[in-house]
Amino acid sequence: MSVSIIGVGLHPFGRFDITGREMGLIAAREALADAGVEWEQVGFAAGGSRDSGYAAALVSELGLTGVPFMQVYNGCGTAGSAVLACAQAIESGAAEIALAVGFDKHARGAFGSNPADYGLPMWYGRDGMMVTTQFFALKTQRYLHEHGLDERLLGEITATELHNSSLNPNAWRRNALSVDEIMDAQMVNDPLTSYMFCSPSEGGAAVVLASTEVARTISDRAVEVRSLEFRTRRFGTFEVFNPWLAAELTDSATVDAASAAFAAAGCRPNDVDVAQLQDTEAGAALMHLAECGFCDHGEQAELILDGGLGVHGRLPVNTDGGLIGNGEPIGASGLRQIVECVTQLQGRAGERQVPNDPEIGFTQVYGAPGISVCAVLSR
Amino acid sequence: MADTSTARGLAAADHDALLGARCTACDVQIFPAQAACPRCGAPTADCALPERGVLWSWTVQRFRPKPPYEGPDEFEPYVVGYVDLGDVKVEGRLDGRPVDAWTIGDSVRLELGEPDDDGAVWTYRWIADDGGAS
Ligand SMILES: [Zn+2]
Repeated sequence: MSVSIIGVGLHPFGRFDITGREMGLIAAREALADAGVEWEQVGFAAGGSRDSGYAAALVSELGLTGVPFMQVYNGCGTAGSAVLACAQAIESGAAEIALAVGFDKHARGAFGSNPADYGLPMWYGRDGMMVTTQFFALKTQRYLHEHGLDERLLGEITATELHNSSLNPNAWRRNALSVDEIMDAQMVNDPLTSYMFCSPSEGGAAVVLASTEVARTISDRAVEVRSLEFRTRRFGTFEVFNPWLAAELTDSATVDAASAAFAAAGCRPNDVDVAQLQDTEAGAALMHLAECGFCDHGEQAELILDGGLGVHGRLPVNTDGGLIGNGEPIGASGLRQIVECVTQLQGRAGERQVPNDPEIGFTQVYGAPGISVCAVLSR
Repeated sequence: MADTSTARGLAAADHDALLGARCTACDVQIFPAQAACPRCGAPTADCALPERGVLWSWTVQRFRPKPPYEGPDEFEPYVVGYVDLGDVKVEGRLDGRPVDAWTIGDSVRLELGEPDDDGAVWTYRWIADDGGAS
């Protein structure tokens, strides 16, 4: 791609007294200021939220410039889809500078779901099987069994992420916990304990993108979007809210999106210096390490143990605390990952900065109903 | 073509098996029955699913789900799993054993719930089949 990120903005994630929309506005203004561009210069915008209203309505406070503002809602891929729309608008020549923004503010507790919205019969919900945390647990349980992995790896991943979020002033969960505290916490859906899950939260995030050519004239610290790939599930994947699974299972959309992203960027997982992976719960992070190509299935222990995923480890992952440390405002979550990657590549991450001038970053979103967005970013 | 109206319930006509469907073109088996194959779009034909299978994965539901869950007022943790029936894996509630006493590979058998006034069955459980534990 010939697209670069020239500015990032973030409203902290957690619980706040302002609306989701206000958080989106704060993030958008911060990204514009970080880029050093005026809203009037933005030739295309895209954004979304699940529960906090229309992203395009932000124009009434950013300025009614007539800019084409595409509203997206794509589940957990909302933010990634907004960035993709912006990048493609720039690549096509339709705009030189674009803004992607996402924000949300969710009620507490797991998301409730109506079977009819998913084309499912009512009995599936009435009998207590329409529960997202259950799906994550069933998938993790099978994965651990199939690959002979120790449940304790789930605690190790969670401890690393909570350590990172304890160092991140924008994160929600600011208390680091030991692996034992995480393993001994209340069991929610076996084998996942309460600390291993992310919770719905609030926050906003935004990035300003420009063609790489224009970016050079505006910024001396622009981060290049080497690739950005979006895939949906194929037949035979293991997704949420499925009364049945196929006899032969297929690789998830993450495998397709990640391998396409690396191919398009012309680099390999080995080259990545810092990665932000979807960790809706610790089992997802465990699986995504292999699905993205950072190790073989079942070989995660070598990456994870002895602080391997920490900021100073072999592969720094979720350096801002990930979803486990920040919660998930659906519209903003994928943009938070990109903001963190850019911040790391620019050397601006403070106490949680990955050492030795990281050059290549990777982000991965996975969500219902079987979608994935992966990106490779580089200085 | 299969009738996909949910009113006919989950059970095959003689009420001794779950009602699934098999694609007439690509042979994929699915549950519950629906008219079109989710893999290739071809019509499906109803079929009764096997009544015995092997536990493929499981978890304990330890908190009360939000509606539309309709459980007893006094919430009791319950087990949910996928059962491998050979050509398809079917999700369902597990019963007949303490909640934390399950292992992947356990043998289970189907137990259908009572039919409603219209004769349609809406619930089923996978019961520990201790006679043939693997
Ligand atoms: Zn078919």
